[in-house]
Amino acid sequence: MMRSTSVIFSVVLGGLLVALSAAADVKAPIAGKAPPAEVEKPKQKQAAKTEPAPEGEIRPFDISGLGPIDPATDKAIGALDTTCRSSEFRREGPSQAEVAKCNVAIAKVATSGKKGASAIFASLNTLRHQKMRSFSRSRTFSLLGKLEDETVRDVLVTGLAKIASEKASAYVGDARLIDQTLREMAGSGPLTAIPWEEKTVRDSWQSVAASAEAWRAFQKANAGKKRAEIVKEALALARADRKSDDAKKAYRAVEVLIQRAPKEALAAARQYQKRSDLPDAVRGAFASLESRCEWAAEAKSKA
Amino acid sequence: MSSESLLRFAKMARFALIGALLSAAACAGISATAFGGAQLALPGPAPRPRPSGLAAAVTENAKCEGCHQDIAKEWRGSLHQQAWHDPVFQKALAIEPEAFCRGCHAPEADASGEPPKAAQDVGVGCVTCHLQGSDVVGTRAVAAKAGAHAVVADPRLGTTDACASCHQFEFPRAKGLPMQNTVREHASSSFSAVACQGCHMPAVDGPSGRKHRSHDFSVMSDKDMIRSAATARALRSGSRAITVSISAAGAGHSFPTGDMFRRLEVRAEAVDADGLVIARAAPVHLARVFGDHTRPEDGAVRRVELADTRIPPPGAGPAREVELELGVDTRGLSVRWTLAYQRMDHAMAASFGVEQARDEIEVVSGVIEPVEELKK
Repeated sequence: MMRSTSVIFSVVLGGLLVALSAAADVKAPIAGKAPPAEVEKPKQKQAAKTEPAPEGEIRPFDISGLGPIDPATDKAIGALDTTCRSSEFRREGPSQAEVAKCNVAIAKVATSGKKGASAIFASLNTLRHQKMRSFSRSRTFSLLGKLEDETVRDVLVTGLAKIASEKASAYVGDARLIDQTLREMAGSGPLTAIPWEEKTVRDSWQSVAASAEAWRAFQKANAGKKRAEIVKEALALARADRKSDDAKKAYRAVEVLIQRAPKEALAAARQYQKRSDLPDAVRGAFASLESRCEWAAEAKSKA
Repeated sequence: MSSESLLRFAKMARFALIGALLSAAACAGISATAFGGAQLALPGPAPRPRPSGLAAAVTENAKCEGCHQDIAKEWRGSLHQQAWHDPVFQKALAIEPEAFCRGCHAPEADASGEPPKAAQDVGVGCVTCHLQGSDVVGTRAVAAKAGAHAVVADPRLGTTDACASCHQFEFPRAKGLPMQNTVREHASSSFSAVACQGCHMPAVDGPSGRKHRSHDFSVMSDKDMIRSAATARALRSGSRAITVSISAAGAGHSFPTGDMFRRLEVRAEAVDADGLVIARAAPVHLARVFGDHTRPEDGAVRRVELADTRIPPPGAGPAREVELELGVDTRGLSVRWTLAYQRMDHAMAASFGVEQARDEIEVVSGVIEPVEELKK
């Protein structure tokens, strides 16, 4: 909890510092007098400049609409890339020691807040994470998940579509991470797959394209809304659906509740399994959700 | 499924039925008190108490081999005996040196540290399943006779429970999420009445002409067994794609099962009349897909299963439909398609540098002939 508090605090502090420094840049003109010649004009938002991509290399994320790359964030991400190392062939995923070490590096990047977004995307646009990509990339994406910025969400959705349209093999593993990040950012998202639902399996490109399309539609439907508003709507719907006779609705409701109200999700998942008429596959899916709820609720309890 | 595979499947089903009947007979004829009511300590992902010590277990194992030579020969070439030395396991253990792994791969040693060489060499040995305290146990009781020990009956050795402790277990750090789910998959299948031993320990003839249960536990080394697990057929779906429909057949669990990295690859290519490949579809992989969830409060990471696209066990779900997009009009072309079993993905196999890891087994393949017009 200490760490999470410090991360949140750092993000808030970082955001405040950005706001304060932006305000300090704009000097108010003296009433009734022309501004002195040496007074700087308000700074225009600079576009992020990066080296052009080498021929044949794809850069999924268009960062031209974001601010310039913050050198401090860029440096901190470099450190994160070397610190957050874990073999992608570990069955259990990153070890607790690897996670703890990585969390320190993450906290340093998180202090940048929104101004760090360009640097984060620039790092994700290169393949320097290729060696140990699954862990360092997922943690780098998770930094974006903490931001509330519609522009950043757009960059991610456009990036997802580009990965699909360009069939960018090197980035195909990012599709799932982008979806996860967008859900974290928006506090909700398009309908998730239902584990017991049979459907045709297609190749990765078709799946990524479908995900990009779903997120585009979601963005359009929620244009201009703050995260709090989206979350409020999603939670209200989830609370209404958690006991639905339609198991798919109930399953998705619990999935939404896990993120914001894990104890409520846990109770709903347990309650649903008590139904006598559930097929094994459905009961199994809710049991699996229950263990996720317990894990999520555990941190809330500690807090 | 080829005619050989069908034959194999029929043979397996027959053995399975015999196995089920034998188990039932054993259960009916021998009371649970035959083993004094004590629970049989089967190997599992935990240190296994062996009060007599490793040296005694190794000596006893050698004695088993001395008399039961046919069975010992089968076991010597098995993955049970190679449980520790298997190069793929060794590569995986180097990445995750966990006590949890040692409990099943060197069950005769204390799992908290590197097992002694003797325990490594025995792997999952004769004694692991058949020596309980000072008793030799089997599915049926046999009285001692001159030069031969008695066998104490524990019918559970002939049931799925005997395999469950090492073939059904959760991720240690993700409670509730199975890392291997074979036993539960089996329970949901139409083969649930047939124990694992029914298919994986078929009755075979020994050199003496006496039948015994095979102890070679072959799965991946038995290509026919892998091929009998599923059937598939393919049809055009529009002019630029095909749909492969895959159904479970002889496997009494999901296919593939066991280790979380196993998968099926479905691929297709369009070929002209001269045999020239005109287009290749992006392959589709059928597997369990895992990801990691990071808890925002403390940054803790937990494994989650994002999808399971494997072939469900027989009776537990419909055929798996796979669509392969070829990207060109294939009406005038033949389309060759293949379903292959892979132990792990190519990147992992390359990283492990083990030839065995790169092996794949073609399960079924076929050709869709060219057509002028598509049927409506």
